[in-house]
Amino acid sequence: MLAVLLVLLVSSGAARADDELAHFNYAMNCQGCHLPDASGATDRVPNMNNFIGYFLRSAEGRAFVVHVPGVAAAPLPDDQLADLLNWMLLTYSPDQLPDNYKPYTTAEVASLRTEIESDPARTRIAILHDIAQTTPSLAHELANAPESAPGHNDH
Amino acid sequence: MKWLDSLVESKARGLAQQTSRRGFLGQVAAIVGGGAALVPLLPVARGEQSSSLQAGEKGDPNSCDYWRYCAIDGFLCNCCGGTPNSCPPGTEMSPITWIGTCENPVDGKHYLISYNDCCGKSSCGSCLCQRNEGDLPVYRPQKANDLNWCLGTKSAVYNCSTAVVVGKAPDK
Repeated sequence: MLAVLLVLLVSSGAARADDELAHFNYAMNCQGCHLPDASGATDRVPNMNNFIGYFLRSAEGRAFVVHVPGVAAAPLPDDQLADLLNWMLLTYSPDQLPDNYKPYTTAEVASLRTEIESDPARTRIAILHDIAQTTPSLAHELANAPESAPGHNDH
Repeated sequence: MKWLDSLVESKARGLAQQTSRRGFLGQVAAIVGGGAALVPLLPVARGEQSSSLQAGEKGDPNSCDYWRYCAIDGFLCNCCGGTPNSCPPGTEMSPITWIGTCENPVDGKHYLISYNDCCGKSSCGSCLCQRNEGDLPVYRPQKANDLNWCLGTKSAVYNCSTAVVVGKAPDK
Protein backbone atom coordinates (compact mmCIF):
# COMPACT_ATOMS: atom_id res chain seq x y z
CA MET A 1 0.00 0.00 0.00
CA LEU A 2 2.78 2.35 0.97
CA ALA A 3 4.63 1.51 -2.22
CA VAL A 4 1.54 2.33 -4.28
CA LEU A 5 1.16 5.63 -2.49
CA LEU A 6 4.81 6.46 -3.04
CA VAL A 7 4.55 5.65 -6.73
CA LEU A 8 1.46 7.82 -7.02
CA LEU A 9 3.14 10.69 -5.19
CA VAL A 10 6.31 10.48 -7.25
CA SER A 11 4.48 10.21 -10.56
CA SER A 12 2.14 13.10 -9.81
CA GLY A 13 5.16 15.14 -8.72
CA ALA A 14 6.86 14.37 -12.01
CA ALA A 15 3.73 15.29 -13.94
CA ARG A 16 3.55 18.59 -12.10
CA ALA A 17 7.20 19.33 -12.87
CA ASP A 18 6.60 18.61 -16.58
CA ASP A 19 3.52 20.83 -16.61
CA GLU A 20 5.45 23.58 -14.87
CA LEU A 21 8.20 23.43 -17.49
CA ALA A 22 5.63 23.30 -20.32
CA HIS A 23 3.84 26.32 -18.88
CA PHE A 24 7.17 28.16 -18.51
CA ASN A 25 8.11 27.32 -22.11
CA TYR A 26 4.69 28.58 -23.23
CA ALA A 27 5.28 31.85 -21.35
CA MET A 28 8.76 32.29 -22.80
CA ASN A 29 8.00 31.36 -26.40
CA CYS A 30 4.29 31.78 -27.13
CA GLN A 31 2.54 33.94 -24.54
CA GLY A 32 4.08 37.24 -25.65
CA CYS A 33 1.86 37.15 -28.75
CA HIS A 34 -0.79 34.50 -28.02
CA LEU A 35 -1.44 35.98 -24.52
CA PRO A 36 -1.63 34.12 -21.20
CA ASP A 37 -5.03 32.57 -22.03
CA ALA A 38 -4.05 31.73 -25.64
CA SER A 39 -6.82 33.97 -26.97
CA GLY A 40 -4.53 35.79 -29.41
CA ALA A 41 -4.57 39.50 -30.11
CA THR A 42 -6.60 41.55 -32.54
CA ASP A 43 -6.41 40.20 -36.08
CA ARG A 44 -2.68 39.60 -35.98
CA VAL A 45 -2.39 36.58 -33.71
CA PRO A 46 -4.84 33.68 -34.06
CA ASN A 47 -6.94 32.55 -31.12
CA MET A 48 -6.07 29.09 -29.79
CA ASN A 49 -8.39 29.11 -26.77
CA ASN A 50 -11.19 26.57 -27.29
CA PHE A 51 -9.96 26.24 -30.85
CA ILE A 52 -6.56 24.67 -31.46
CA GLY A 53 -7.89 21.21 -30.58
CA TYR A 54 -9.89 21.22 -33.85
CA PHE A 55 -6.67 20.89 -35.83
CA LEU A 56 -6.05 17.45 -34.38
CA ARG A 57 -9.16 16.15 -36.13
CA SER A 58 -7.20 15.65 -39.36
CA ALA A 59 -3.73 14.35 -40.15
CA GLU A 60 -2.97 17.55 -42.07
CA GLY A 61 -4.11 19.67 -39.14
CA ARG A 62 -2.07 17.65 -36.69
CA ALA A 63 1.02 18.21 -38.86
CA PHE A 64 0.17 21.89 -39.42
CA VAL A 65 0.29 22.64 -35.68
CA VAL A 66 3.96 21.60 -35.70
CA HIS A 67 4.74 23.12 -39.11
CA VAL A 68 3.83 26.72 -38.15
CA PRO A 69 7.07 28.69 -37.88
CA GLY A 70 6.73 29.60 -34.20
CA VAL A 71 6.46 25.92 -33.27
CA ALA A 72 8.83 24.32 -35.79
CA ALA A 73 11.58 26.87 -35.16
CA ALA A 74 11.01 27.23 -31.41
CA PRO A 75 14.31 27.21 -29.51
CA LEU A 76 13.31 24.05 -27.63
CA PRO A 77 14.44 20.41 -27.84
CA ASP A 78 11.96 17.96 -29.39
CA ASP A 79 10.83 16.41 -26.09
CA GLN A 80 10.09 19.78 -24.48
CA LEU A 81 8.31 20.95 -27.62
CA ALA A 82 6.09 17.84 -27.59
CA ASP A 83 5.34 18.38 -23.88
CA LEU A 84 4.52 22.03 -24.56
CA LEU A 85 2.07 21.17 -27.37
CA ASN A 86 0.36 18.43 -25.33
CA TRP A 87 0.08 20.72 -22.30
CA MET A 88 -1.30 23.52 -24.47
CA LEU A 89 -3.95 21.31 -26.12
CA LEU A 90 -5.25 19.97 -22.81
CA THR A 91 -5.03 23.32 -21.05
CA TYR A 92 -6.58 25.61 -23.64
CA SER A 93 -8.69 23.45 -25.92
CA PRO A 94 -9.61 20.05 -24.45
CA ASP A 95 -13.21 20.16 -25.70
CA GLN A 96 -12.25 20.47 -29.37
CA LEU A 97 -9.92 17.45 -29.40
CA PRO A 98 -11.15 14.36 -31.28
CA ASP A 99 -12.38 11.37 -29.27
CA ASN A 100 -9.36 9.36 -30.35
CA TYR A 101 -6.91 12.12 -29.40
CA LYS A 102 -3.36 10.94 -28.87
CA PRO A 103 -0.66 13.24 -27.50
CA TYR A 104 2.26 14.17 -29.73
CA THR A 105 5.31 11.98 -29.25
CA THR A 106 8.86 13.30 -29.21
CA ALA A 107 9.71 11.32 -32.37
CA GLU A 108 6.64 12.66 -34.18
CA VAL A 109 7.50 16.27 -33.32
CA ALA A 110 11.14 15.72 -34.29
CA SER A 111 10.07 14.49 -37.71
CA LEU A 112 7.31 17.06 -38.33
CA ARG A 113 9.29 20.14 -37.30
CA THR A 114 11.83 19.60 -40.10
CA GLU A 115 9.22 21.12 -42.41
CA ILE A 116 8.26 24.77 -41.86
CA GLU A 117 4.98 26.08 -43.28
CA SER A 118 5.64 28.93 -45.72
CA ASP A 119 2.08 30.29 -45.95
CA PRO A 120 0.46 29.57 -42.59
CA ALA A 121 -2.55 31.87 -42.99
CA ARG A 122 -3.70 30.30 -46.25
CA THR A 123 -2.95 26.70 -45.25
CA ARG A 124 -4.75 27.23 -41.95
CA ILE A 125 -7.98 28.22 -43.66
CA ALA A 126 -7.79 25.31 -46.12
CA ILE A 127 -7.24 22.81 -43.31
CA LEU A 128 -10.03 24.25 -41.16
CA HIS A 129 -12.51 24.07 -44.04
CA ASP A 130 -11.64 20.42 -44.59
CA ILE A 131 -12.14 19.65 -40.90
CA ALA A 132 -15.40 21.62 -40.84
CA GLN A 133 -16.89 19.16 -43.36
CA THR A 134 -17.18 16.63 -40.56
CA THR A 135 -17.31 18.97 -37.55
CA PRO A 136 -20.55 20.98 -37.35
CA SER A 137 -19.40 23.12 -34.40
CA LEU A 138 -16.34 24.25 -36.36
CA ALA A 139 -18.43 24.89 -39.48
CA HIS A 140 -20.64 27.10 -37.32
CA GLU A 141 -17.64 29.00 -35.95
CA LEU A 142 -16.15 29.50 -39.39
CA ALA A 143 -19.49 30.77 -40.69
CA ASN A 144 -19.65 33.31 -37.87
CA ALA A 145 -16.08 34.51 -38.39
CA PRO A 146 -15.85 34.50 -42.16
CA GLU A 147 -12.32 34.14 -43.42
CA SER A 148 -10.77 36.46 -40.87
CA ALA A 149 -7.45 34.99 -41.80
CA PRO A 150 -4.84 36.38 -39.45
CA GLY A 151 -2.38 38.35 -41.46
CA HIS A 152 0.58 37.45 -39.27
CA ASN A 153 0.03 33.87 -38.35
CA ASP A 154 3.69 33.24 -37.82
CA HIS A 155 4.11 32.44 -34.16
CA MET B 1 -25.48 44.55 43.08
CA LYS B 2 -25.99 40.98 44.17
CA TRP B 3 -28.76 40.54 41.62
CA LEU B 4 -26.29 41.43 38.87
CA ASP B 5 -23.79 38.83 40.12
CA SER B 6 -26.46 36.13 40.14
CA LEU B 7 -27.72 37.16 36.72
CA VAL B 8 -24.23 37.00 35.18
CA GLU B 9 -23.52 33.74 36.97
CA SER B 10 -26.67 32.06 35.75
CA LYS B 11 -26.23 33.33 32.21
CA ALA B 12 -22.59 32.21 32.17
CA ARG B 13 -23.50 28.76 33.49
CA GLY B 14 -26.27 28.48 30.96
CA LEU B 15 -23.96 29.44 28.15
CA ALA B 16 -21.31 27.00 29.33
CA GLN B 17 -23.85 24.17 29.42
CA GLN B 18 -25.33 24.89 26.03
CA THR B 19 -22.19 25.50 24.02
CA SER B 20 -18.93 23.63 23.60
CA ARG B 21 -15.62 25.25 24.39
CA ARG B 22 -14.05 23.25 21.62
CA GLY B 23 -16.54 24.71 19.15
CA PHE B 24 -15.75 28.21 20.37
CA LEU B 25 -12.00 27.65 20.04
CA GLY B 26 -12.56 26.19 16.60
CA GLN B 27 -14.42 29.27 15.51
CA VAL B 28 -11.72 31.56 16.85
CA ALA B 29 -9.08 29.48 15.10
CA ALA B 30 -11.05 29.58 11.87
CA ILE B 31 -11.32 33.34 12.01
CA VAL B 32 -7.69 33.92 12.97
CA GLY B 33 -6.16 31.13 10.87
CA GLY B 34 -8.46 31.11 7.85
CA GLY B 35 -8.85 34.85 7.78
CA ALA B 36 -5.11 35.35 7.78
CA ALA B 37 -4.93 33.88 4.31
CA LEU B 38 -7.43 36.41 3.04
CA VAL B 39 -6.48 39.51 5.00
CA PRO B 40 -2.93 40.07 6.20
CA LEU B 41 -2.85 40.58 9.98
CA LEU B 42 0.22 42.78 9.85
CA PRO B 43 0.58 45.84 7.66
CA VAL B 44 3.27 44.36 5.43
CA ALA B 45 4.40 46.43 2.47
CA ARG B 46 3.37 44.32 -0.49
CA GLY B 47 4.80 46.23 -3.43
CA GLU B 48 2.58 46.32 -6.45
CA GLN B 49 0.20 43.99 -8.22
CA SER B 50 2.62 41.16 -8.92
CA SER B 51 3.81 40.86 -5.32
CA SER B 52 2.07 37.55 -4.67
CA LEU B 53 4.28 35.89 -7.28
CA GLN B 54 7.61 36.85 -5.81
CA ALA B 55 9.61 36.95 -2.61
CA GLY B 56 9.92 40.72 -2.33
CA GLU B 57 11.31 43.83 -3.90
CA LYS B 58 14.71 45.46 -3.68
CA GLY B 59 16.16 48.32 -5.71
CA ASP B 60 15.06 51.52 -7.36
CA PRO B 61 12.58 51.20 -10.25
CA ASN B 62 13.92 54.52 -11.58
CA SER B 63 17.37 53.00 -12.01
CA CYS B 64 18.43 50.93 -15.00
CA ASP B 65 20.08 48.52 -12.52
CA TYR B 66 16.71 47.52 -11.08
CA TRP B 67 16.46 43.72 -11.28
CA ARG B 68 13.38 43.50 -13.49
CA TYR B 69 15.05 45.51 -16.26
CA CYS B 70 17.66 42.84 -17.08
CA ALA B 71 16.38 42.43 -20.65
CA ILE B 72 14.82 45.82 -21.29
CA ASP B 73 15.53 48.13 -24.20
CA GLY B 74 13.70 51.42 -23.95
CA PHE B 75 12.51 54.23 -21.72
CA LEU B 76 11.50 53.23 -18.18
CA CYS B 77 7.79 53.91 -17.65
CA ASN B 78 8.55 54.57 -13.99
CA CYS B 79 10.35 57.78 -15.13
CA CYS B 80 7.57 58.71 -17.52
CA GLY B 81 4.53 58.98 -15.29
CA GLY B 82 3.82 55.26 -15.03
CA THR B 83 5.26 52.44 -12.92
CA PRO B 84 7.09 49.17 -13.71
CA ASN B 85 3.59 47.63 -13.87
CA SER B 86 1.52 50.33 -15.50
CA CYS B 87 1.55 52.84 -18.34
CA PRO B 88 1.65 56.63 -18.04
CA PRO B 89 -1.74 58.35 -18.37
CA GLY B 90 -2.77 58.81 -21.98
CA THR B 91 -0.94 55.73 -23.24
CA GLU B 92 -2.20 52.22 -23.91
CA MET B 93 -0.39 49.03 -22.90
CA SER B 94 0.37 46.71 -25.79
CA PRO B 95 -1.15 43.26 -25.19
CA ILE B 96 1.53 41.73 -27.42
CA THR B 97 4.85 41.72 -25.67
CA TRP B 98 8.18 40.08 -25.30
CA ILE B 99 8.95 37.99 -22.27
CA GLY B 100 12.22 37.08 -20.58
CA THR B 101 13.51 36.08 -17.16
CA CYS B 102 15.43 38.07 -14.53
CA GLU B 103 16.90 37.06 -11.18
CA ASN B 104 15.27 38.67 -8.15
CA PRO B 105 18.07 39.64 -5.73
CA VAL B 106 15.77 39.06 -2.75
CA ASP B 107 15.55 35.28 -3.16
CA GLY B 108 18.00 34.59 -6.01
CA LYS B 109 15.23 32.97 -8.07
CA HIS B 110 14.35 33.71 -11.68
CA TYR B 111 11.01 35.26 -12.61
CA LEU B 112 9.20 35.75 -15.90
CA ILE B 113 9.16 39.42 -16.85
CA SER B 114 6.80 40.80 -19.48
CA TYR B 115 8.12 43.97 -21.14
CA ASN B 116 4.82 45.41 -22.34
CA ASP B 117 5.32 48.66 -24.22
CA CYS B 118 3.12 51.69 -23.62
CA CYS B 119 1.90 53.25 -26.81
CA GLY B 120 0.03 56.25 -28.14
CA LYS B 121 2.31 59.17 -27.19
CA SER B 122 5.69 60.04 -28.63
CA SER B 123 8.82 58.67 -26.95
CA CYS B 124 9.09 59.56 -23.28
CA GLY B 125 12.80 60.35 -23.62
CA SER B 126 13.69 59.85 -19.94
CA CYS B 127 15.65 56.99 -18.40
CA LEU B 128 16.79 55.16 -21.51
CA CYS B 129 17.85 51.70 -20.36
CA GLN B 130 19.42 49.05 -22.59
CA ARG B 131 20.52 45.87 -20.84
CA ASN B 132 19.38 43.35 -23.43
CA GLU B 133 20.10 40.09 -21.59
CA GLY B 134 18.65 37.29 -23.70
CA ASP B 135 18.00 39.59 -26.64
CA LEU B 136 18.19 37.76 -29.96
CA PRO B 137 18.37 39.10 -33.53
CA VAL B 138 15.13 40.07 -35.27
CA TYR B 139 15.00 36.78 -37.17
CA ARG B 140 13.90 35.43 -33.78
CA PRO B 141 11.16 38.04 -33.51
CA GLN B 142 9.59 36.78 -30.28
CA LYS B 143 12.95 37.19 -28.52
CA ALA B 144 14.11 40.40 -30.18
CA ASN B 145 13.72 43.64 -28.27
CA ASP B 146 14.81 45.95 -31.11
CA LEU B 147 11.33 45.69 -32.57
CA ASN B 148 8.53 48.10 -31.93
CA TRP B 149 6.24 46.03 -29.70
CA CYS B 150 3.31 48.44 -30.02
CA LEU B 151 1.27 45.74 -31.71
CA GLY B 152 -2.42 45.32 -31.14
CA THR B 153 -2.75 48.85 -29.79
CA LYS B 154 -4.69 51.69 -31.42
CA SER B 155 -1.46 53.57 -32.02
CA ALA B 156 1.92 52.10 -32.95
CA VAL B 157 3.77 55.10 -31.47
CA TYR B 158 6.17 53.93 -28.73
CA ASN B 159 6.31 55.82 -25.41
CA CYS B 160 8.01 53.63 -22.75
CA SER B 161 8.43 50.07 -21.47
CA THR B 162 7.04 48.34 -18.38
CA ALA B 163 8.52 45.27 -16.66
CA VAL B 164 5.71 43.22 -15.17
CA VAL B 165 6.36 40.04 -13.18
CA VAL B 166 4.07 37.44 -14.76
CA GLY B 167 5.37 34.18 -13.31
CA LYS B 168 8.21 32.21 -11.86
CA ALA B 169 10.81 30.15 -13.70
CA PRO B 170 10.96 26.47 -12.67
CA ASP B 171 13.71 25.70 -10.16
CA LYS B 172 16.68 24.20 -11.93
